[in-house]
Amino acid sequence: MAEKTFIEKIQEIDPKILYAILIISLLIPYVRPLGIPIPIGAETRSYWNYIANMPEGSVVAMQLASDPSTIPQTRSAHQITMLKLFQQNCKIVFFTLRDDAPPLHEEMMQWVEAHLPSSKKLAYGVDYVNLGFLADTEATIAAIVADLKGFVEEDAYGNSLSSQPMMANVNSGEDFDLIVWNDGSRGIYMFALRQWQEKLGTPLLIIASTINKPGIMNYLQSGQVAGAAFGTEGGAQIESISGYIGDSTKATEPGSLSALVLTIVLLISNTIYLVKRFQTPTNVKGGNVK
Amino acid sequence: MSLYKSQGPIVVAFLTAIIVITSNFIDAPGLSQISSDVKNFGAIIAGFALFVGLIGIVQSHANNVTRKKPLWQYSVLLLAVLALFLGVGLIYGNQSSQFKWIYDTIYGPLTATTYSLLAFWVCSAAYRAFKPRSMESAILVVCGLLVFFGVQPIASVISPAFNSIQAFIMNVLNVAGTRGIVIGVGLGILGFGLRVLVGWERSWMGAD
Repeated sequence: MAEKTFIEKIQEIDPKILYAILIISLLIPYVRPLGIPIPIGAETRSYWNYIANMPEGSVVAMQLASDPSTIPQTRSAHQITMLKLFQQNCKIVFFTLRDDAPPLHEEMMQWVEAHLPSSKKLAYGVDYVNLGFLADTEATIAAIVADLKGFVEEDAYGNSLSSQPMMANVNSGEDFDLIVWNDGSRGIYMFALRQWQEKLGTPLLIIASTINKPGIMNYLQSGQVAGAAFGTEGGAQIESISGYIGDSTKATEPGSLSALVLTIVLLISNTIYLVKRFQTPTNVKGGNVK
Repeated sequence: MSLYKSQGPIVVAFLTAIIVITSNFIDAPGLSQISSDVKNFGAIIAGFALFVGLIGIVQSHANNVTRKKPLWQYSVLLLAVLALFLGVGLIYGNQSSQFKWIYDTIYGPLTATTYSLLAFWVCSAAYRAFKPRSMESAILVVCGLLVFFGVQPIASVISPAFNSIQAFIMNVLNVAGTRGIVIGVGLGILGFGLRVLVGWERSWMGAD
């Protein structure tokens, strides 16, 4: 058997070597931060401006559809949004469309309470209510928009929704001033767009993993989505604007460096592929000539 | 098939759709309340679907175990964890420290680990498969690499052009393409809805 050429060896590289290179590129910034500046995207700027300008007493719906796998990408934007809205004395109605999201909400509430000034204590039923998990269908959003209290009679803790002071004048989708929709990577933002924003004109902000960015860009351009924070980068941008530097900023450099390494690896593999392709004579139809 | 079974679902679907659609255009007394109730039914039925899913997954994996199908040991594990999670939730409640302990120490880390492993699989798969084998795939490779790298903060440090190029691909080329797809899907849904309404579309009833 003829010995493999250098190009063939590179092309058939052991995946373990690629994994090792990727791990090293992920670890370097944790050991020695590179200090890469984080540019603020236009959609993140719009998102933050909307949150920062919400008037006192506004009623906001916050939906969480991240799970433990996608929450590292969306946690920063979500919890800083909660904090900022509470600082501005907004009222928040929380709910989730994922059965495994409620514990994540509780974790983020703890973070928010720890970061509020000591003079500000949140009161359940006055500053916020938590509806917990609701069935993840478009019909759920349609039902909330039509008649919230008729659809959800009790909150996540078994309390009557009607007995909560902040819910006195909140009966349907019309009574909300803003929707903050954490989509995770599920692509269910269409529920809010079709059943809520489009129907009533309620402003919609989206937090989502980067994988959903191409689809959401349509609605950002059309103005149906007022702002968005995408993935770890979006979270890091929110951290940068708000001053609450945390996990997203720390994760940005490893993500950035590993993306650089992966891009180089892909360039190498494609260069080798093209070199081999042009070295091998091919007929007009594209098949190799024996 | 009896008339009740063949025509009944179509009548229910027709009436449901007519009530919900007309309530958006006609402000008739009582109609919006009926429409609201119908939407509530939809969400409640979806809630029950979770229970149906639970029964389905138990049946499927119990079958794997009893017939000793390949990898049946994993089915045992799945059923055991399912019983554990369900039992702890029912006995102690989903706000209990016991329930939270399972979530924090088993479910959360496993889910996050599985997702993070994707990076390595993507790296290996992209190295082998992400190749310009035709003009279309060459465009895909070039755009993919530019967007993938251009969104990273490090790209702007190397050259601001990377960010501008990825922004152009995302905001112009991507939006133009996906908007066409979205409009096409919307028209398709509208057509499908109309076919269901008039009873021409019966695949949702299990018919051919």
